[in-house]
Parts: sequence; structure tokens; C-alpha cells
Amino acid sequence: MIRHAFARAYLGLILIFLYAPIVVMAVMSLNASEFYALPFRFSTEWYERLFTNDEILAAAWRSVWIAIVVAVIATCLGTMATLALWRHEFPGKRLLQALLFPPIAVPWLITGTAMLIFFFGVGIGRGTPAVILGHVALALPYVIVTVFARMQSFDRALEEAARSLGAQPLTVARKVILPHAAPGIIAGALFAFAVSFDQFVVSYFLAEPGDSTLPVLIYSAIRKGFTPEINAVSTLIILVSMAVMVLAARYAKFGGTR
Amino acid sequence: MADGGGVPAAVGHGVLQPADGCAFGDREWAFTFANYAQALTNPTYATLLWKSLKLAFWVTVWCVILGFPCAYILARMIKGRAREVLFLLVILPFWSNALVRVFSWAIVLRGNGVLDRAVNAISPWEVDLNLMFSDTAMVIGLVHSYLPYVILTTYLSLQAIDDTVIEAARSLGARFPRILWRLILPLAMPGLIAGAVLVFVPVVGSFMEPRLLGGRVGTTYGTLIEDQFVAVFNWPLGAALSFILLAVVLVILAAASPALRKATS
Amino acid sequence: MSGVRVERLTKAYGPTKALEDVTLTFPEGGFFGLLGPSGSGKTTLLRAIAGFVTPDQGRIFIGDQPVERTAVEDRNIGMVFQSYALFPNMTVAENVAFGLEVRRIPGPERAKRVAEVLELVQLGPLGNRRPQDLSGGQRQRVAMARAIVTRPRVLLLDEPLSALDRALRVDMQIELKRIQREVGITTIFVTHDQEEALTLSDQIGILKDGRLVRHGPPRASMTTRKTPSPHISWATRMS
Repeated sequence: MIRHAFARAYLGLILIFLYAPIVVMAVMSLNASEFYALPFRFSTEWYERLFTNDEILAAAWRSVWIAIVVAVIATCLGTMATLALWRHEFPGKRLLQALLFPPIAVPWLITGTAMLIFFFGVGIGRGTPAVILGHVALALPYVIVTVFARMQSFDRALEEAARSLGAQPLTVARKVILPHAAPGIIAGALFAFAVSFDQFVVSYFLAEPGDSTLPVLIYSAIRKGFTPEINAVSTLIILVSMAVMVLAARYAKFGGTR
Repeated sequence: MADGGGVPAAVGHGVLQPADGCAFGDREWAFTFANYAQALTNPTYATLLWKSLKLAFWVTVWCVILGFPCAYILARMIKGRAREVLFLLVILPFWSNALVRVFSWAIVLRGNGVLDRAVNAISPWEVDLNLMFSDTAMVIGLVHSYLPYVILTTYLSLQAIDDTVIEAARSLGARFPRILWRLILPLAMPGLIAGAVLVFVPVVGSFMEPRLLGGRVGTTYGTLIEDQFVAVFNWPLGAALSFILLAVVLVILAAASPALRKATS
Repeated sequence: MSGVRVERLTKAYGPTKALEDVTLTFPEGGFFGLLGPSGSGKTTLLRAIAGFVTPDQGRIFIGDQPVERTAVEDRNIGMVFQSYALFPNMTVAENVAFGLEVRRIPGPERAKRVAEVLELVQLGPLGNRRPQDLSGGQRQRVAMARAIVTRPRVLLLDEPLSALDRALRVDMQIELKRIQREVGITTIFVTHDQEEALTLSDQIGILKDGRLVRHGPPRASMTTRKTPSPHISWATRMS
């Protein structure tokens, strides 16, 4: 029992370590003082300012729509790739699967700078198209891993049964395989959205200076000096990405099956 | 490694330099090792690389020390719904914006910031923590960013340990410290090593966390590379430095792989 | 070595009673078979004697010593698990030596006793193998060796043969009986296989729904296995 009390206390401390700074940031975003002065006085001033700051609004909007575009492209490509990997045997399949695994052996910095040079080399250069392509490349492995995990539970006899009842391959895909894969696809799309929305390093190297995403804008703003407005927008970002992840986690457990 | 085309491009860029020294354009390409020579011989660069490796080492050590007990408690002492919720709470920050989390530490740690004032409110005498813009601040921020990796991988290997194996050790008279040392740690080793690699690799190349929390002492190999691309626009040198970093990381991974194989066998 | 006695042992998990008022003596040096279908409480009884289950009421004696409040680690028992529960990160010899290491037996004597017991279970040359590289029967022998090398007061066997195929099981029954005779240790053996219980045991106890329904020498507590009595027909159906 004493051991359990210690265990709970320890977990509590870890959770405080993980969440305290985020909570402090959120609280300070609602403090009237510009210099984080205490005592705390409640104010929504910084949020009001935020919604009149065109630069931040534009970057936020850009981040969101880039994340949506990335989620759509990565989910389509990723789902098709997964179904191919799942259904067919072909030479080089193992190698391809290994290459599609999330790139853990390469620091983000190298991925970002390498992409920058690559996009210049092939003539795309810096800018939003490069950011989207880069994010798709980063998000693709997460979609594939998630959808693949879902397909592991598919009973192939179902497909055969449908075929034996005279269903055409496309009908089988639409009526049998896709409905089964759906929770995995939704979770994959949410992961892809989160990867893009939260991505800083790669965006930082690929975004055009006047055309940056929200994290890139925040980074340059922080380097110029803290303002409570950054606090406010950061708090909103944390809320959005955590909400997306809680949703994804629910779908990743594949909803109805448990 | 979905960016398959990118890394070779960086390697190539380190040896191919536009003749007039400008970053990029429709200019003639010339083959040169000069960038690698510069990157390898400049003592400042070597010092910074060593500093980044040390930083990554300490961050990894702290992540393992803090993460292992946490993973153990989650995997073997808490059950059912409580475990599910706590597990989600622990890995949730890992999926939220890394930049924003580092920024939140800046608010907590900065001089006359929240932590300073909280400590001084309790302490009877004046305490000057002055943690901001120090190595400690960098380690704290990076541990915060990467701790969930170690917890996740270690949790998975701890959960795979068969309960009856622990019961067998108890029936033979072993108490918890010995069970921990002789059974649980060895059996969790694959997860711990995987987690350590997942922390070490990105931290060696970190630049945003050192920049924001380390200030002037926060110059690392990562910020050096960043500067080549965004400040001084010496891309070929930046590419050469990046590739050296990648090579060092791969050498370390290769060196760790026998241990990894042994631990997983 | 000592006999074991449980008195009025009761254990409930929520509304289901796993053990209800069980009183039973396991004689010193004997081979006692606990028989019953799954959910009858036989495993709960064994785990209560081992110390993994804390009874709600009742007493447990190993020798003359009451042990209800003694932790598993201090009961000086040997236990063989259904899944063998060998330590996957250790060799066969290290597995067997573990209990001696815990008891701080010095190195040379430790090695000697490990060698002896591996000889006893006929695994002499396999000391350096890993559990993963052994057959089911060999693993079973390692689990036995590990449980008896510390010379425990009582040996607890939780369905030790159920993971083996039929032919091997018969061989191992003979082995098990031989080893137990040579060591002369008080042994309590849980099984749902009636024939196995009859072959091995000096005494049998039959549990049903957490209650002890009969006990005694195998041939008195039930008729010969050729003509099973109606009372034990449920046990036959189980196996």
C-alpha cells in the first residue's frame, strides 16, 4: 500500500512536470499585466488583440488550411499505399515498408535542411507548395502505420464471401474493405493533420518569410521578445492539437470494436 | 524515411558548390571538398558538435531516469480505466506543439518569472534561481519535450513481461530490488534502448530549444547549421555540417545496435 | 520439510466464493493431488498456500508455523507454474541458481548444487542454453529443478503437465514421481486430469465450487479408474 502511495505521488509529479508550464502559460494569457505581474487580474485583452492582429490571423489560417490539404493528400496516398501493401506481394515490398516507417534515425534539422536543398534543386523552391509536399512526406508514414494496424483485424473471408456473391472488385472495395478501414483512415487523417499543424522545423526551413505558418511566426516573434499575445495564440494551439489527438486516440482504438 | 530524396541531395550539396559562391541558382556547379574540409577542421565546429552530443547524452539520461519509474507504474501497478486515462495524459503533450511547449517553459523559467516568484514566496530568504538562458534550462525543456518517447517504448516492453515470471521469482524468495535488477530491468532493456535512441537522435540536432531557452549559451551544432541556412546563407557549408551530423548519428546508432540486438534476443 | 494444513479457509472475489470453509491436511513427504474442474477453487487454494492469494478467513500452517501473514518471499516454498515462468533473460543454470543466489549461497556450493539438481532432472549438459531454445518437456524439468534446488518446505505444482502433449505427459508423470520420491518433499499438485491425479498421488482432494467435496487415498476416495463411480463422473468429463 505504501508502495502504491509512492507510485501515485510519483506519477502526479511527472504529470505536474508535463502540464504545469502549459497551465502557467494558459493562465498568464488571461492575466491583464503585460509583464506577467502578480496578483493575477483576469482579462481577455490579449485574446481580443489576437483577433485583430492580421499577421497572426493570416498565419493561423494558413496553418489550418495547409494541415487540411496535407491530411487529405496524405490520407489518400497513405490509404492506397497501405491497401497495396496489405493485399499484394511484390518484389521490394519489405524494403518499401522499411522506407515508409517514420524516419527516426534522422534529426528533424537534417530532414528540414535536406528538403530545402532538394526543393531548390528540383526547382520548386521555398514557399507553401514546398511546405505542403514536405508535410505530406512527414505525415505519410503515420497514416500508413495507423491504417495498416486497422487492416490487421480484417477477415479476408469477408472479401471472398462478397466475391462469391458476385460483387465486382470495386464494389467489394467500397462496401466491404473501406467500411472496415474507416476508423483507421479517420485516425490516420487526424494524425496527419496534427503532424502538419504542429510541425515547426520543416516548415521553418521551407516557408517563405512573408508566408509563414503559425509555429514559424511564433518562433520569430519569441526571438524578438515575449508578448502576452503569443501566450494567447500558443494556448489556443495547444488546445487545438490536444483536442485533435484525443479524437485520434479514440478512433485509433477503432471505436466500436471495444 | 519518407524524404528519401532529400538527404542525398544534402550530401551532394556539400560537395557541389556554385562557382560564384552564391547559394543557389542557374549557375555552374563545381565539385569541391572545401566545405567538408572547413566543417571538419574548424575547432569551433568540433567544440559545438561535442557540446551537442553532451547535451543529448544528459537529456537522454534524465529521460531514462524519470521515464522508467513512470512507465513501470503505468504498466505494472495501475490497471483498468485509470491506466488508460493516465497513459493518454502522459503521451498527450508529446503530440502537441513542441515549439509552444518550449515557449511555456520560457515563461516559467525566465528571470523574475513564475518559478522565481513561487520559490521566493515560500523561501524565507532571497533566492536567485536565474535558470533561464542556462544549460539547465535547455535540459529541462528538452527533457519535457522528449520524456514521453521513453515512457511509451519502456511501457510497451514492461507490459509484455509475464506476471508469472515475477511470481516465480517471489516464490524463490526474491524481494523487489532484486526482481527489479535481475528481471525487470533486463527485460525492459529493448524498450529503454529504443526510447533512448528516439531521444538522443533528435536532441543532437536540436536548435529551437537551445535558441529559446539557452540564449547566448545556447549555441549548439544545431543552431550553427540553422545559421548557415537562415542567417549567413552558406548552404554548402550547412549541408556539409548536416551530413557530418547525420554520419555521427549513424555511427552512434551502429555502435548501439549490438547492444540493441543483445537486449532484444 | 514439513506438512501443510489449512483450516476453514475462505476466499471470495466479489459475490463468487472461490474457497468456502476448506479444511485439509497435506501429510509430510506425501504427494497430494488437488482435483477439480476449472473454477472449482483448486488453483486459489494452491496460490493461498503459496501466498499469492490472501484468504478472507482461515489459517494456513506450513509445518507448525502459521503463515497467513507471511509474505510469499519468506514462506520458503518451491513452485512450478503452468507456463513454467522461466526467466527468459537467463540461461538454464542461471534460472536454477536464482533461488540460491537469493539465499546467498556462496559460488562454489551454488554451482555444485545446480549441477546436482540438473543431473537429477536429466538436463546435465544443457546448463548454458536459454529457455527459448528448449522443448516443452525440457522447460518443465528446468522449472522443477529451479523449484527444488533451494530445498523448500513444500513444493507446489500448478497444472505442471497441462502444456505438454499426451505422450510426453505420461513420461513426465513418471519423471515427476521419481524426482519427488528421491527428494522426499511434501508436494501439492493441482490438476483437472483425474487419471493424472490417480497415477501420481498418495492422497487426493476433490474441490467443487470452492468446497472440498471428498478427500483421502486415491482408491478409497474413488473407485478404480476402470469403473468410475457416479460421484466423480464430472471429473472424468473435465479431462
